[in-house]
Amino acid sequence: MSLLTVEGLQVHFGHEGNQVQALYDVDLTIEPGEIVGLVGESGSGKTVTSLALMGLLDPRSSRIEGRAVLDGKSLWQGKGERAVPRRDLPMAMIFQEPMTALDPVFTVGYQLVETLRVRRGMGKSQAKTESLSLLDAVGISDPKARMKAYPHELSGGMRQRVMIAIALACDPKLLIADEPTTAVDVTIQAQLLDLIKKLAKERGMAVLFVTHDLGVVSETCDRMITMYAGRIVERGPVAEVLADPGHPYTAGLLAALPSPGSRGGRLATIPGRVPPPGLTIPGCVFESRCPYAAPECSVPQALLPLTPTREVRCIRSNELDFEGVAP
Amino acid sequence: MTGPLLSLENVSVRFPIGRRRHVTAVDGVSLDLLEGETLGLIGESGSGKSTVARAAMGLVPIADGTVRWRGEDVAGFGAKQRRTFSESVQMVFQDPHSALDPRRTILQSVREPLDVMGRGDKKDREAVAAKALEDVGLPSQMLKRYPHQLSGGQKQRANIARALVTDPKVLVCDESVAALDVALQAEILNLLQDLKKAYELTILFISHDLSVVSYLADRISVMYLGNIVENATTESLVQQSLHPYSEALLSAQPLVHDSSAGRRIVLKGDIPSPVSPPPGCRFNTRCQFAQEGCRQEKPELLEILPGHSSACLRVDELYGERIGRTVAS
Repeated sequence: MSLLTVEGLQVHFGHEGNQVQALYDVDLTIEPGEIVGLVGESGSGKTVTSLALMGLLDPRSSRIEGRAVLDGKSLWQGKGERAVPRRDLPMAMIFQEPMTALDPVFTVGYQLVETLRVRRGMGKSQAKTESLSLLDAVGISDPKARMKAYPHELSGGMRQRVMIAIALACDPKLLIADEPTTAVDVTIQAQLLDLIKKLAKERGMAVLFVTHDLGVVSETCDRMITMYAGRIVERGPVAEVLADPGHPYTAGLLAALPSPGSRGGRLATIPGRVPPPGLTIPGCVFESRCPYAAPECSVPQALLPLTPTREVRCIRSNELDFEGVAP
Repeated sequence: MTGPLLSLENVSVRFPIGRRRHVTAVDGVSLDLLEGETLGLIGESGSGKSTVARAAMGLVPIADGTVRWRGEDVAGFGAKQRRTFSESVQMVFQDPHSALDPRRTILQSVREPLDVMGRGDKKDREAVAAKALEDVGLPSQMLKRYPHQLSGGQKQRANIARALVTDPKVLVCDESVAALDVALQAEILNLLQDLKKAYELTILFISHDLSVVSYLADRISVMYLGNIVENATTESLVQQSLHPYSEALLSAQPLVHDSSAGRRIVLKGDIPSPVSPPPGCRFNTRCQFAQEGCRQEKPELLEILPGHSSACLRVDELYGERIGRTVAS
């Protein structure tokens, strides 16, 4: 059985009469120890998906529908309007900007100890010992001294390691990482990616890795999901999808990447932009930007199997041959 | 052959950090920007890339060295020459949103440099600004809008237009595509290439993203902790890097079609603080090849191959094969 099963996840924002839908029928599963990449441009629904799963969307301005089960337990308690996210599940999240996610007026040690005491019910001294071993586990040198440091005294890479340590404090089976390496340098990114991979392997922790960087996906993830306009448009094993994308959008993202090989030439672009949430699109959501749009694309597309392991929301996937994406 | 358009000779920039102490953000950097080329400047945050650009434009006072514009020392410029110089070197910043005044329309923002220069009357200035906005591909209905009504890509186009209205020779792009999505990034990179041709620009392109720099630049300078550690043409740097730092930087770049397993060199730790840089080679604290000598002697930037210089004491030992092979072929 999968660790996380999500079925028909829908998110609406706004109040009666003025609602926009941000997510449409998102289904996904994650196995223990698996790293799943969630990719797409800004506005494609990656972050809304992760916030909805984590229970961080404001219930006053958003409405979540669908079913999500982590390790046999539903992510929401209660039914319908009165459903509230559960806070006692073994899942944690790390964010893009560790400086804004950490509290600037408390030391790193205090924030770690607090999490351990609340979530694991530890005593003060036990929590302190555990904090030290967590900081050690995320590769922070001299954890004792770092416990007394305030977030501003640490570098970006160190802060993100501290965030990961806090996330590990509740011994998560699922880690949601929302663009965790976007704000750091490549050399630090390499360190953090190695760390996340190592933790996933050692602890059997599953990771939902939200990123817009296909290079990072290629190096870190086992499977990937491409999202567009609040819908999943493609998913499958990373190596297969990147070598031969099935959806024109995934192909477009790949072709837009600059490389030394494409020097001097023009980069492929995806004309137009992601439709704003709330816009009703009668046919295929990508039709208006798709260079391969044909008459048959004017009907809504379903997520159909391409191979036993891959699914694509494109009716023409089999007949298309994409340019500029080959290795 | 004419000399470089803009050149930095041994430029150092120091910032006071209280108690009469200083931090040397840029330490004896020399750079030549040749007319018509695109020079890429890469390095981690804290390496001094942006400070170099600011020093070149005269936005920060330099402590040592000279900045030359067409061979003349910028420091000796009178008010008039100074003005021509600032018109000729324009900058595009990283965050397209914070670089625009939220209370001005796009047209007003783009027109502003011309207002400051007092060129022509208002109508002419508006026409020049509108032309620049057209060149960067912003539809005319956008001119009267405010920054918050535009998307990130459109805002960056407006920023580029504002840099272009003074008819500059040099465009300094400081992480100009870092805040954009891949598809938009591709659009802006294409646009920069087009504008470079149309306006006969010379571009100094600063980025931490090696794939962007190697796509755009003719030559690349790699910076580390206030020093330039390697200078080379893009091909030469990508194919045969001659400095351990550049190698690590190249290998850390996640690529889609080339698994990094095996090739990746993961550097330990962070870039040291420039307040107290390590003695000797500044990279010695993170370099896997560092030896005793590297902690004592500071390597100079020496030309190893034609057009390819590196600042590493052990360059012969480490890359002898690469150098030998290239010399022989």
